[in-house]
Amino acid sequence: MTASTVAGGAVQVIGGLVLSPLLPGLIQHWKARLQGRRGPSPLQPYRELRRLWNKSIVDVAGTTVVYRFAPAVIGACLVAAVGLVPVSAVGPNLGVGHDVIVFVGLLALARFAAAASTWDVANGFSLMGASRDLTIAVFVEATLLLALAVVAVVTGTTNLLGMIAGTAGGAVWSSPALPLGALAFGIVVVAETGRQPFDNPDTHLELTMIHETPLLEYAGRDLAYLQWAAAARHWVVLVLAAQVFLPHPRDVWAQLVLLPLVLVLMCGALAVVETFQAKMRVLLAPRLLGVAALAALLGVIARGVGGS
Amino acid sequence: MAIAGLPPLNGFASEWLTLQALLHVVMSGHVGDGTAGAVALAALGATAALAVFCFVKVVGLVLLGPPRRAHVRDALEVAAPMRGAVAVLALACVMLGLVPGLLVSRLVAIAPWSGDAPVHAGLYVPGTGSLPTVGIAVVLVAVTVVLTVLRGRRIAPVAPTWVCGQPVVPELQWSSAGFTKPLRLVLEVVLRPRREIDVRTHGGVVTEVAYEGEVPNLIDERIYRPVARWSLAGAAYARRLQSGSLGMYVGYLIGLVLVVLIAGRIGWLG
Repeated sequence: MTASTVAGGAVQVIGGLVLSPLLPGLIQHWKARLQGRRGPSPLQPYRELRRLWNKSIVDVAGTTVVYRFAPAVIGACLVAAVGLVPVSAVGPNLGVGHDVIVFVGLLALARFAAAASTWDVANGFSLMGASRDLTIAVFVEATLLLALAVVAVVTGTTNLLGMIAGTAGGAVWSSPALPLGALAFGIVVVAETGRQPFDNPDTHLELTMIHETPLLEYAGRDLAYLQWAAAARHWVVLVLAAQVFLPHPRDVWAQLVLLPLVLVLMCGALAVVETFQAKMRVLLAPRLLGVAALAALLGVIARGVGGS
Repeated sequence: MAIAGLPPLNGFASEWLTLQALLHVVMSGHVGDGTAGAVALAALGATAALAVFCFVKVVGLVLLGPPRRAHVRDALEVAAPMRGAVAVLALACVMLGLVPGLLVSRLVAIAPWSGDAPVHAGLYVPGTGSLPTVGIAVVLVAVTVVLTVLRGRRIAPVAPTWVCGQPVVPELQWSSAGFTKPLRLVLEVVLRPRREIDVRTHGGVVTEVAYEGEVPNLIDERIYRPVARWSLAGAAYARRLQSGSLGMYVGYLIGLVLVVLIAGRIGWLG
């Protein structure tokens, strides 16, 4: 095991497990600044996690193990996803491999657990959010797979290590395939992280929530798990965006050094998008995802025309 | 969960193999195949998400939430053998999900082009990130257990579901149609659902609301029925040729022989 493998693994585990709450914190901080408010410090998510950790959990009357295990299962899915998404072209195998389809499957399992818990508590608001989340997920999953297919075609593998290595350097970016895939993935990032125009993370009105509604019936450490999982979701999709869907250097050390910078820049970009973009009607969101899917499909075709 | 294609169960192993196969079709390089493969890939991805949608609804309606009817509340547990049968089937799902490699390597060995496929518990295919099923299952279960232990003990009393002060009563529970409504609205163009709402008022007070909705099966209506109609019409026409009389068939044979002879004479038969 070389030094770069160890360093890559360390960045992956520490970044994903410990530093990921910084990402939503940064977005909230900058968004407030852009809107002329002072806003919370970027460390606010940590304060919230600490507060929740010291509070008691509350069980809902009449619920089953599904309700009680759901936050732990969602947390486990995201821990596995953090272990799966490498931060550079070399990284240790943490037991879960590096396959992108497994990544898609883990996100689907987390979604399933959240939706099942809403049926268990039988809260109408939670169910409405879960229903909308799953509706959008149908289109997100198709678009995500198409965007990943573009990269798989360019790099010839579905192994994330190979994907990161294959999209490094400037040469592969000269054809239109990867930029089109990146456009599609950019929209998937916004949808997966639950940001505007798909979802409003700041809302406190149950009728407009999507990702927040399965959280309504949880408290204490359960809620802490769920909030951490939301932050870890930011980490995995943004790392994927930075190291696969944006141009990055070939050298592993340079990849590791540039990653924090690119992540911070992308948080800034998400804050700008959130400030200038109003939330979309839920029923119109699939159209935007459809455009993204068509872009990715065009990328595959462009690669086929250019490559053969 | 297994049928919705979720890790670490057997459905996911199958889904993984199918998605990988489609991805490699896309990677094969030809424009036509690649495009068709990509469309199929997106369709399968959407189908997988639809399966999650569908089965979370089934699980939720049947197993979770407060009882919706009185006789559901008074339901009794069935005898042990009936539970055992279900448990065996569930165990098969878990085992096939944990060690799909053992089965798949046997299947690969049947194929005529196969070489020596190494036997693993997981699925290891070149050109992929591979599917270490045992590793994924161990990580998922271990982290879940750790997080459940860390969750700690409950101090606060059990509380009812908070729905803005309303009690959760069977009349207000979500139905299956309600849960999938957003998707039906989004896909309105494709699915063409029909609905009728009948509101009866009596002296300005709504006394009764009847709702009727239906999603027609478009493939049935637009493809199967016309095809069935045409083939029935074709069969009725063909029946006139098959009169059942011997003389008619002898006539057909003579006609055929004549045609063949003429064709041979002209030189069509080479």
